[in-house]
Amino acid sequence: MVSYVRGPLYKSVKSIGGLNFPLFKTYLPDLILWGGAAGAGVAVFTEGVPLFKNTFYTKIPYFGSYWEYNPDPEDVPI
Amino acid sequence: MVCNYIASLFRRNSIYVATIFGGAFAFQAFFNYGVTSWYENHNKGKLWKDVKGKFVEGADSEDDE
Amino acid sequence: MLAFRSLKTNSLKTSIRALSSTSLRLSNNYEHPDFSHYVNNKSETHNRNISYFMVGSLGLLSAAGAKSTVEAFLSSMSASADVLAMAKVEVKLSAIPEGKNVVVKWQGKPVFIRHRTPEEIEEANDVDISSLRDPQTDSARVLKPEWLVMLGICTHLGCVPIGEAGDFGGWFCPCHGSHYDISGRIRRGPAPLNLEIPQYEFSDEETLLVG
Repeated sequence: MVSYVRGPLYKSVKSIGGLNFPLFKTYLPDLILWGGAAGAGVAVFTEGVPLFKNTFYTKIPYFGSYWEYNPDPEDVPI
Repeated sequence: MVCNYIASLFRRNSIYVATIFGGAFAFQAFFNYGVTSWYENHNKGKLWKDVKGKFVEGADSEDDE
Repeated sequence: MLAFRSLKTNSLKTSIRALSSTSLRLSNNYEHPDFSHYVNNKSETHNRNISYFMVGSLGLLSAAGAKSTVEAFLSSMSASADVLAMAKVEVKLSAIPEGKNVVVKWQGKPVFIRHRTPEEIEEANDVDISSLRDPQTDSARVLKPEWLVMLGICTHLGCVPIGEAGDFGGWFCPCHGSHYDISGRIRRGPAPLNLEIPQYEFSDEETLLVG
């Protein structure tokens, strides 16, 4: 006796907002690259901010000393 | 070949944009550095850091206003 | 109107035809100038790369320029060096003997500094807080009890009170007769609040930094 099923059994991959894991995996390299691009964009605009200068840019090898700013204390208004 | 390396930057939009911003970051630092060192070389002897020694030594007594 | 009417008459039809550009007889048979030397013979990829390179370079310069513009605007909003230099006042405390007042100018306002004697400190602490108009303990108004630092502006209408005057041994405002005690608290008169305390610190034993 052959038993029949009503129809093919579909199993959908879990997805959030139309984005499932295998799809996300294929996107991943591009997302990383775009992240890098965004990071570089942020770096361009924060180049003059003292906080960013001291935490990141002075640590760049070879050229990092460009962002160091150590004036003589008596040349700074209080 | 150099042309091929440059062409590989245009292949993906993300790499293209990242290169542009990275280049802009490097460019402004080098440009600023270059202009500053040219300016300081051009005005050597007139800058505060050059003439400071002449003023600060004797000025100590009359400095506290 | 004339042209419209003439269309209807058969006799003019041929001349109208002559104006039509689809007419074969009017086809252009001038010789084209030869531009082939002007067209480069590089590959399409090469030309595209050149275009991308130029677009990218322009983007790079624009990004750097935009950042500089934004930074120039933002830095123009921050305080300039001369403002920063005026923002703080340093006072040498060793020059002020006990029981004396000193008035220094800070950001265009007078600042009273009094080196209080132990009796004055005791007097300031003895006051019944609940009887005050603006209840504040003396310890809340000073960092070190012997140094009283406050803005010399009457909280009533902004006159400058006179030191070592008034009924409470402190300050007296001549404009409308407000009496402040030795802690700068309002005791009598129209003023609603105690004399204001500016931001200050003792950078070392002998130096007071107002601001």
